[in-house]
Amino acid sequence: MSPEGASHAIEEYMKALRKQASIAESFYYGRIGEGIEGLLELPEDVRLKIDQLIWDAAGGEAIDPTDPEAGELIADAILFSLEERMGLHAS
Amino acid sequence: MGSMSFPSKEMMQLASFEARLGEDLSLQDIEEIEQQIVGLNQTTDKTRGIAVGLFNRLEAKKPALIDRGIVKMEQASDPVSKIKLLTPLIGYLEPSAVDEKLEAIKLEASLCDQKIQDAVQKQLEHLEFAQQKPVIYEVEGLRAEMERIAQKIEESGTLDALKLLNPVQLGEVRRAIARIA
Repeated sequence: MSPEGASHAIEEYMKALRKQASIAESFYYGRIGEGIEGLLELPEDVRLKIDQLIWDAAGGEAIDPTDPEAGELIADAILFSLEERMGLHAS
Repeated sequence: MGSMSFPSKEMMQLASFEARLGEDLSLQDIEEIEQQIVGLNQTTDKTRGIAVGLFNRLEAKKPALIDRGIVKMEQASDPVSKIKLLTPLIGYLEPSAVDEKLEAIKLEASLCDQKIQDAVQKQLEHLEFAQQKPVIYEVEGLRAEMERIAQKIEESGTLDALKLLNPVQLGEVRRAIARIA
């Protein structure tokens, strides 16, 4: 890894975090199409983790993303994953 | 043979912060310097005393910068720019003052075309979302920290500053490298 490459990668990492925050915001405000489009652009492992978090938070029930409460639940799952990606949950 | 004492690493860092007091600092610069002072190992009464003095002088600079920021915000030509300029000031203002300014911006936007109204609405949502979900502010804090680390890497030409990242952050940087390679 070159210093230039590392510096660029740090910038990309921050862009990815901000993008994830904006995806959460889309769901929070009911912009479902925009939110789903953003979710599909996330790395697969991150997306799977978010699916799992939503599933757990909804108690295994199907949720309707157009319902405002479900929108906030999805936003919270995305933000929890965001905190993980920032290393805030590391022990 | 006489002994020679060298200034400690903390003293050197405090001196570099002291030197920055003469620069045209922004509120964000001041916050960053304050965070760096807090992160220092203040092992002696002398370094603690200097750190407190620096804090006081940094705090004393804030009111003028806030006033200047408000004037700049009020002179901005459109409501979207006004919200963007107001955002970094929000933490320094009374909630009632923030509400008052936001109401004035909304009123101004209501007189503009739909495109501007939509842009203002989106900016207001960003603000409200950050207030509801404080992790958004933490992302911004991390961004400032990461910019410093990237700068250290570029200036030193080595990867030593990567040691400042926690293991998760390092993994994410490696992921980004794999993606852009």
